[in-house]
Amino acid sequence: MSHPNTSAENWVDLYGDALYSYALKFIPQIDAAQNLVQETFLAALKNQASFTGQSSQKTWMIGILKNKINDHLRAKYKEVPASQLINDDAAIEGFFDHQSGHLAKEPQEWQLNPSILIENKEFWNTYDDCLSKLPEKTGQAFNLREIEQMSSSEICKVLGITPTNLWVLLHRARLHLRQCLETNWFSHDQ
Amino acid sequence: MINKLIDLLPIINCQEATRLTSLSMERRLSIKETIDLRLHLMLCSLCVQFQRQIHLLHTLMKNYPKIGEKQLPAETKIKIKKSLQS
Repeated sequence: MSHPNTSAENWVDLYGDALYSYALKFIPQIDAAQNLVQETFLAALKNQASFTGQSSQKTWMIGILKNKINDHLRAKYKEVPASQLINDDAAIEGFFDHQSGHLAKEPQEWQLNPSILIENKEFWNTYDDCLSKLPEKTGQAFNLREIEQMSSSEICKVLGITPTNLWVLLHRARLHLRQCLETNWFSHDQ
Repeated sequence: MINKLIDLLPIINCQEATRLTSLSMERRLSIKETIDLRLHLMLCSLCVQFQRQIHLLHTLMKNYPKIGEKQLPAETKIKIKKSLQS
């Protein structure tokens, strides 16, 4: 539904929350997310003529926001070359025996009932804690993949990495999260 | 014991097996990768456990509580509105 007659200021009330929520999925930093929303509105105002009305005004603005998010993340991660990020063997050290490559610690049996667990706020707090211990990009890749269920190609585009890089990040995230949840949740839970 | 057996046979180690387990959630494994992984899992109950838990994690994540729509703070809205006027 488009609102051709609404002024730019009304956009903030109409779409502000939606754009902000969208931005937060990719950029957890509140200030940065709010700035991007502001930039999006300013860009929309400037380029109002390019809005053809083929999509809804909201969709059009989300499109602008997506570009802003991409630029933001790309600039942010520029300093850390993907190769360096990926070839960091220390990241999986401790999970495997140095020489044999076998699992260093035995995974424990998890006693749980998923349907009860997902209602447990404390479990999700533990999860958030575990996630926050991951390098930012690794955690972000995992969240976009597993929570937002975005496709690999979409995530690669946003984070500016190759699929191979993404797979390495996801695997690393799974190793860490599995271990962290086991230590901080499942071994206390019984 | 089993680990020794895995060392003796031409079978991938846990590091590689867990990598393939994770990879299998992202793309279809090649025939060689599939065979390598299956052989390892036949002998290694730890990696079977790992696989089960990774899949569970995947199921759990789908239920991550969606916080619903976040509200842009009122003062930020005012600030943005002002910036749109100028």
